[in-house]
Amino acid sequence: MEKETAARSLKWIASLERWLWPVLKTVFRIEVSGEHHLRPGPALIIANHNSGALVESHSLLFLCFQKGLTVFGLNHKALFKIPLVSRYFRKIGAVTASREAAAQVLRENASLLIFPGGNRQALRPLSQSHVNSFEWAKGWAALAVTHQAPVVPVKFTGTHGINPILFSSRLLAKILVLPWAFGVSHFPLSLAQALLSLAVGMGVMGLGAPLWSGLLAGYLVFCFPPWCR
Amino acid sequence: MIPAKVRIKVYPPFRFGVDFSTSEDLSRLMNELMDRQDVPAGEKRKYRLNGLERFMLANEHERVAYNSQFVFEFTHPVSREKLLETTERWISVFPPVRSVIERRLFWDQRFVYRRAWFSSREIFHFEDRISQEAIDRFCGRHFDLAFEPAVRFLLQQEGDRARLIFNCHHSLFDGAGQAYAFEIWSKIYNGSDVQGEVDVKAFRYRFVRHQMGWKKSLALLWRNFSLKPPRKMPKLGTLNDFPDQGEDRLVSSVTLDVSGEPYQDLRSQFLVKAAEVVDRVLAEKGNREDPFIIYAPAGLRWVMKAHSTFQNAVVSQTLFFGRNLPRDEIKRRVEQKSKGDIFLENARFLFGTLPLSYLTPSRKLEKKLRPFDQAESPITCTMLAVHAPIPRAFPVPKDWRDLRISARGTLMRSPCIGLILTGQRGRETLTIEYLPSLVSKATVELVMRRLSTIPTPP
Repeated sequence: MEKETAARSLKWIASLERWLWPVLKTVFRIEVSGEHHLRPGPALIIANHNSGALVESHSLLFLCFQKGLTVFGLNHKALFKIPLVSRYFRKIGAVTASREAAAQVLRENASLLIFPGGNRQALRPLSQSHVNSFEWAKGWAALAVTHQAPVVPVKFTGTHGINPILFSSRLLAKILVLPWAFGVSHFPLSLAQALLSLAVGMGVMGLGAPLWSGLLAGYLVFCFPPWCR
Repeated sequence: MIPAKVRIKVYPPFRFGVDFSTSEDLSRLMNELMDRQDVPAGEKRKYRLNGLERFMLANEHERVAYNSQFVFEFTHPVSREKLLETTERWISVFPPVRSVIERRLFWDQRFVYRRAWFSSREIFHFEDRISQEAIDRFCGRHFDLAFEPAVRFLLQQEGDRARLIFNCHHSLFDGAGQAYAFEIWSKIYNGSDVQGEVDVKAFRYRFVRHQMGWKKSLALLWRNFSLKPPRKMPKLGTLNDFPDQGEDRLVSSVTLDVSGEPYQDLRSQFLVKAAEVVDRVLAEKGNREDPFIIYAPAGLRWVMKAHSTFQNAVVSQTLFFGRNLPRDEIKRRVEQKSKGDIFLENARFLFGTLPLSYLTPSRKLEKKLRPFDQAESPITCTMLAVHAPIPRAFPVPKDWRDLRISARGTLMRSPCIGLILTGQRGRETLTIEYLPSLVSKATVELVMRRLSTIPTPP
């Protein structure tokens, strides 16, 4: 646990904030209100999750940095199995989603950023984009009560339009044998995912690879992105 | 990836033991909040911004906030529920509160939404102790005009003492508009039935033409519809202190209680008396290092008025006098000045209430004001004397006892003294505003002493 919080690099965050934040602000025309509620000290920062998850987590990270908050984000443990990605997220303050990690962060007088909705909320279809609640997630509330920490709610609006999820289908998941291959019952289809898999499949075939390898590459890319986010 | 517009809203924190005690409570609160429609959306209509409002929007930044406040002090507790209930009703009947300003590439546009996207809990803040520091912080906090309503309340209660601060952004209300908004609020608080939406009049071009003549009106139209971005104007000071931002941004104020018999004369002849006092004080000081009041030539007077009058034409008068003018002469000039305001006496405008600034081409204004703003030593002193029949008479809730009202405003960056007489009849306060970097404290103290034995505040 010591290692997890120790890996955070303020230099990295400062550098990212200097270069990436202006880009995000310009491209997504980010408008922030109520940022004065972000104050240093142990607190749970609870936000809704949409398909533009990276934009959400990074913009909140930069806002907290500007306000002088030390913030750690709870992330799915699968993320830390990918070598370079894991290193990057450790540097910007990601910790494994567990009660112990959360307790450690709060003990260190730092804030904890949680997206309780997780992938289930982030991958909801566009028609459900106005539903930002996460009734199924209870762990974060128990955490707040256990540690008697203040809870700062943050709501993102518009991030679902960054990569719109067109629909989420159980049938498609079965057609793609996802329940058996990846243990996933619903399959969300986003515009970017369809275009990317098509581009990768055609690219592989364009390099002279056989048709089956192009189809396989396209299939993997098609199935992969939703869970990577 | 689609470059969709992203909005991030950070809410006030939920606190353990205050807002929630169990995880079920917290979960319910959070889910309600997350599913609530709380960004401006739905049917909206346009409300034109006038030149002054555009000016404020163009010049506001992290150091400057054009906020304006009424401070009500009374000696009995008030019910939070009633305040919230009143404010909730007020939001639904008073359209300007539901307005936002959308920032565009070339110009900003204001819209009033048919339905509120916020509740009274978001604009009403409560504190359990009276603290001037908290008030200053509250008054100085910027409004996010694209997101939130440009109005906030703060109630501080400690024992039997209470302070209510009604804070708004000057792009939404000017002095008179603010008083009118509070009048509606008070009516609702008192239990009067306010039927439907309150009719709010915007300042019309027709009205400007009537006042200023068709040539200037056409010029105004031409300027407003041109695609040029707003020009930079001289920097302003504000009453909202940002102590770490350099002293030339600070406007200090002293509020005096001028109720009671000794100040009867001052209250009844405020303009004449205040003008005379300031004139004499500055004449007494007798050197050009300190500001003094000048009698501006007719050709320059409109510039000076636009420069120094930041409040409503209904309630403000800017006076310029030469040294050692006889009292009768001062009185005559005050009366002359007042004539122009007679036709506005009963008018209540919320938007566009300063036609003179409105009609001043920004380049011309900037050129004219440059010597005043860049002078090494202050060479002029203008006096903004707000003698406001509407703010002085506007109704407040009937059951508020021992009420004392004072005002805090915004001053232009100039070596001027702002005098605001406000409050209920018999319980008036006089606020003297000045920029310490441009007006010496000694001048202000002399003005205070001269204003008919007004005691120096502790």
